[in-house]
Amino acid sequence: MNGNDEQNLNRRIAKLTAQNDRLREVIESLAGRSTLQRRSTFASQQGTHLNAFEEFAPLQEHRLKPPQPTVGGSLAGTAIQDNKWFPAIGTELGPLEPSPGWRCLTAHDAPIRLGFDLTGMDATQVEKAVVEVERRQLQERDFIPVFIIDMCEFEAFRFRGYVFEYVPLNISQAPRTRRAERRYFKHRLELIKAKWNLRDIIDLSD
Amino acid sequence: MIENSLYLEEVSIPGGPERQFDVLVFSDLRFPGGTSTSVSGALRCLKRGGYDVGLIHVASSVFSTNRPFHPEIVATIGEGCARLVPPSSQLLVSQLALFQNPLAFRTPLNIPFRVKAEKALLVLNQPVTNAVGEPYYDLETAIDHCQRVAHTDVTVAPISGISRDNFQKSSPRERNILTEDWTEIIDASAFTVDRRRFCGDFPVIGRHSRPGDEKWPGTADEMLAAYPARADVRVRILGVGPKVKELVGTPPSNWDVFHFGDLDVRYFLSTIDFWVYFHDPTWVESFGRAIAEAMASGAVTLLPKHFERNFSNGAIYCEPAEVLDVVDHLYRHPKEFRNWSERARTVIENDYSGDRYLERVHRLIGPPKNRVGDFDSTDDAASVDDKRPIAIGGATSQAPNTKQRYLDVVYMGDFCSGEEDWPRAAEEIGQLRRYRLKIGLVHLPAASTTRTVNADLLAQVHDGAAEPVNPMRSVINAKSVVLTVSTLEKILAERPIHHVFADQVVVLCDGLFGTESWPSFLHWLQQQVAEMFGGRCLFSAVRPSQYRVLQSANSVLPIGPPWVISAFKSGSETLRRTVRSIAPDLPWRVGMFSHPDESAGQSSTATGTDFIVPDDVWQAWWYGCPPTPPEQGEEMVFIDSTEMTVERFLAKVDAVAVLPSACRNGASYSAAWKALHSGLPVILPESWREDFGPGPLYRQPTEYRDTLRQLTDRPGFGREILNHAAFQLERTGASASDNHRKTAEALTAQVEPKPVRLRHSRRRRVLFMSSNGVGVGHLSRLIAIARRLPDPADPVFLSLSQALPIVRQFGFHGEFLPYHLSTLSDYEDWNGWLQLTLEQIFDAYSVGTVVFDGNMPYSGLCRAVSTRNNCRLVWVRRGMWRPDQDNTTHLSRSRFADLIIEPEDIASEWDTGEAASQRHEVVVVDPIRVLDADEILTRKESCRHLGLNQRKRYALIQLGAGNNYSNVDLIDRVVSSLGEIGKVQPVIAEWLTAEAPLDLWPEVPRLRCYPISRYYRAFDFTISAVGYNSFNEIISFGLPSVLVPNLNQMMDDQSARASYADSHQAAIHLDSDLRPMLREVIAAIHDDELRRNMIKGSRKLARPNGAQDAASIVARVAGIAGDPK
Repeated sequence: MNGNDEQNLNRRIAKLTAQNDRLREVIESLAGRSTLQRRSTFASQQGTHLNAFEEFAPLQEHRLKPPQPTVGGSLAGTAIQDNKWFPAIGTELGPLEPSPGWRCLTAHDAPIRLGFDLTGMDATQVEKAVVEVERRQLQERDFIPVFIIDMCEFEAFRFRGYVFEYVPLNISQAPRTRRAERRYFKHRLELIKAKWNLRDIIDLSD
Repeated sequence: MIENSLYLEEVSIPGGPERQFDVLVFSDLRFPGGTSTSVSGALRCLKRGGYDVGLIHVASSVFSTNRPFHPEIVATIGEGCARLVPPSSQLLVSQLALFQNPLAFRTPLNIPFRVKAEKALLVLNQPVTNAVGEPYYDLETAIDHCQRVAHTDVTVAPISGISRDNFQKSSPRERNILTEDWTEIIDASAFTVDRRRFCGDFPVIGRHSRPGDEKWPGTADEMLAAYPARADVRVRILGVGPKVKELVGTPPSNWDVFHFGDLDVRYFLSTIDFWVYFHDPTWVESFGRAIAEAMASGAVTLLPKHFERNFSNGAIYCEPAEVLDVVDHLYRHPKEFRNWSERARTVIENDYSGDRYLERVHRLIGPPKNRVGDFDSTDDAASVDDKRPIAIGGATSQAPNTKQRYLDVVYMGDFCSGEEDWPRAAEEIGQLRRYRLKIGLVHLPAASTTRTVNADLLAQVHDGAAEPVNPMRSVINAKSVVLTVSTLEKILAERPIHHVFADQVVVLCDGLFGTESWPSFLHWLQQQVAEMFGGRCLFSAVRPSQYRVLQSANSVLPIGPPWVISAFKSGSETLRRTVRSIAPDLPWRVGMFSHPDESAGQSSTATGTDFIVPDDVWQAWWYGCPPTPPEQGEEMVFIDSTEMTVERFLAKVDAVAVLPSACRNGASYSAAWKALHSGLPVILPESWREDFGPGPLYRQPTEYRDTLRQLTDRPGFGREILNHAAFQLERTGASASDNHRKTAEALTAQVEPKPVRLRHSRRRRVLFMSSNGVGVGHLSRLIAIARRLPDPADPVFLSLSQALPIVRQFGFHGEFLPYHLSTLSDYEDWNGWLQLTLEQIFDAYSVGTVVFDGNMPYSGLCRAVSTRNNCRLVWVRRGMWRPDQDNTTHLSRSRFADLIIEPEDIASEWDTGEAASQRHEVVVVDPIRVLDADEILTRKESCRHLGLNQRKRYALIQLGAGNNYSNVDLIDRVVSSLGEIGKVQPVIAEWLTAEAPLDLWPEVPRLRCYPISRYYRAFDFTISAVGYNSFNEIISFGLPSVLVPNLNQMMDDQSARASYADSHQAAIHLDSDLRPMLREVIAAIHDDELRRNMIKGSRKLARPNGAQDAASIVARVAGIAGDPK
């Protein structure tokens, strides 16, 4: 450490306390330990992954009413089908280009976009399915996947650079509202299909 | 020569050799004041008596030729009270000829037909001489001219005792004079005011009159005696003029002064107790209509002695100096006051009622001989064909897709155009929805346009009130098609419609009457409509003035009911008031309307340069473009009619001003109506008075700015204007609903259609939407707010951040959408799909409020919200933007937010970003944190939860997700340094949104949890990035820290935060100078005393949690009942 650096450091740290002299001792002693050996004090914690996701009870009790079927609903349908004639959306509304994934980045011009419906699967099943799809994609290099899931863990996609759509299901257990949810899901799927220009949605759902 | 001959020809009865009338009324129909009011009253009264009246316009030399008829006259013609006599008539026969106001007959009457009247009266609406005997006109000449027309002796008819005295004093010759006064008609019931209580805590003296000099007392002493400048008396003057300024200078503080016409007289009279009137001694007031109106309202009236001739014992007659004593006395003796009030009313009811007038007419000519309506039968026959069946797949070509659509009503036009009044059509559709009609929208796009569909129409589509129907995809069969003449012209010129068939087509006449040949043009349109749509044609007009003109021609055209929307539903008032109460210091905003073409210089008008510009109090918000582009530095906001509904726009402004050029801006007319209904002061050009009547303020454009300043400088004036408008709208409420019923009836051919009550979902959820973000700051703030909302809020989340699991962790339902950076797509394309997805989500969850946290509301979000009337947008916008960023676009999105909340930063003092200069448009709350202090676990609990040994020392490394800069090298250096020192165990915080796991240091435990601050006490210090959440939590919860800013250009000003804390001895800022000495800095923070001092420094900077305040604000904007927790 040269003189200027040391002066600068002292000046900055001195602002933190009035006890400049004592701090200087600390810094000087640290500066003299430049050849200090790296000690492994972390052995006992090796490989530990600390997870602490506590469930936080809401401060207020929220009674979520599940989605109801779209009331108006005609606009999204019209826009998908007819935005050029009835320009409700301020753009041409061309389909989006999904990312082909980290391992297949060069396949971004693959001609086919395929949807994979993984709803109803847990994280382990999803992981397996994504690995399999990735393997096929690497092999054939003619499609880009877009995953559709309803479970709330996204690492399988994020770490691989895949696009996924999350459509929550089973918000309510009541049969009537379950039907409404299914209709909502159907609307969302139609939109997702148009949005990514999916040739098909392959149903791998459980 | 009769002027307005074209007008007369088209709106009058058909000409013919001889016409019989009971009464013929001759007058110059352009008189601006009492004479025309008097004539209108007489016409209505005669109609009530069953008399058939012919009206003859005498174009006197009093006015210039281009002055229009008085609106009241036009209205009475429209009501069928009288018919204009065309020049083509040859002989008019009547029992009585009434010549109104001698001023109109000073020159010979050039009338191309003969008149044969049994009796003739010259009504003295104007005195012959002034008080000192100087003549106003030559009465003998006027009588002579009238006699030549009537071919009989003319009897002079004074209108009051004063008028009689004046005539008798001034007339040198013996003339026939009517033995009884031909008194004016006052409908006392229209003015009645409940006088059981006084208007206020002080007596309120008032007067109304034209502002002419002759209407005021001659001296300042008299003026101030009659209208005292005293704090314990309120004086209200409607019709203030230059004479007032001349005599008393600036009106005293206890005076409320208004321009003539600013307030409706009936409203004005309901705000005063005493009516006091003294005029110039040289002036002769023949009758005193204003006096009679005041008396009819029951205001106790104080007048000069000479008025006793007219008003007998109905008023108190005194000198100006006695006014105050009389007022004081009666105010202290309410019973006596009420007694006088009742006397005033009785005099008017007895002496000036319509019944008295009819009795006089009856005494002169007996009962009516010509039944009113003799000419109507032929009109009807010419106007309406038999109903045609719906033509399906008619003679013209078939649609490519032969699917049939059956609809009740189809609205047709270029919905992207800014010239048509689509907000009016949208309002109409909203009203018609109550009749359960199936309504379709057939868009006729212009050849080349980049504009989207009008926002108000989209709002109706969102509500399910109407649906777009493409005629190229199906054959449309409708009971009614509604379009404007302009649209019809375009269709005929550019593209005939082949796939729409209708029973009837309602053609709304918009601005057609400037042309000379409009009747024949409408006839031609009628034929075209029949050919194109296969149905009959019905004409109507939106503006009352246009409808009256149209209606006057009903002998030749099929006329529908008035297409007048006079009651607008509006929820903007509630929102505006809520926002104002939350943020009283927001700048005042005036909503301006002009015509879009003006900005392109295509049609600059003389008035274009006179538009108001913002001053230091008022900010101009333009709906459409301003007449001239703003100069540099002028703060203006521009909103296009395709971007935002009128209702949303009105919720953002405090007043509305319409420029004359806006006549061609489609939205301005209905926007002005809607503004009135939503409780906004409205300033209009004088030319709009006929369509709006009392309620708005009518001004020259050059006066707009002063009027706006009056609204802010004199809150009482503003309140008055609003009360007055509300009073007017209440009066018209009944006729408004009647209009809607008539419209529905005309469109569906139903008799008496019954509206149904629409069921609206009471639950309007709050949707919390977070942008992607590098960390989880946006989502964290939203969670902090959501968990403090009261019960009914029922929050739902929409996250573009993959940290969605934390939303579930807090018990909320959430949805996720991939951000555009996770795709290879264009940002605008992504926004389009975002809009559509949002619309699905809004509908599915009944979203009433969106709370967005992000640096810039996406255009897709803005459009989705702004094309709905029932969805509000709150933008949570944290500060500390980097000063070197260009955030112009970000800030321009403010216009879409109904409210902006700025969660303050502990380091706000050092905020030099662009947002800091816009603090005037935000509500500031304390820094928002997810957890309150009492939710932070103790060291023991923290270690237990995390599985750490509480006897050991730990350092938390939280250097971000590493998604927009590589943090691996830095973490490695920190871990190495800590290892070298060997006293403290590092723990690496792994971000929930990280694109790769931080598993490069197998000996270092990784922490995955949320919110990390809950476990801060497990750690002795932290090496941390300086995002909003980390920083504010570290300082607020007193965790010693080395702060390492993320210097990516896209980030907030993390360096400023770290420097601020460093300068307050609350942390060490590891800036670029110190980075090479990372190990030394980390070694320094191992020192216990240094850390204790940091904790002390942090405590000094710590701020309360602003989440609760933010939740309260969101709850209020969302209209959620209950107190937030």
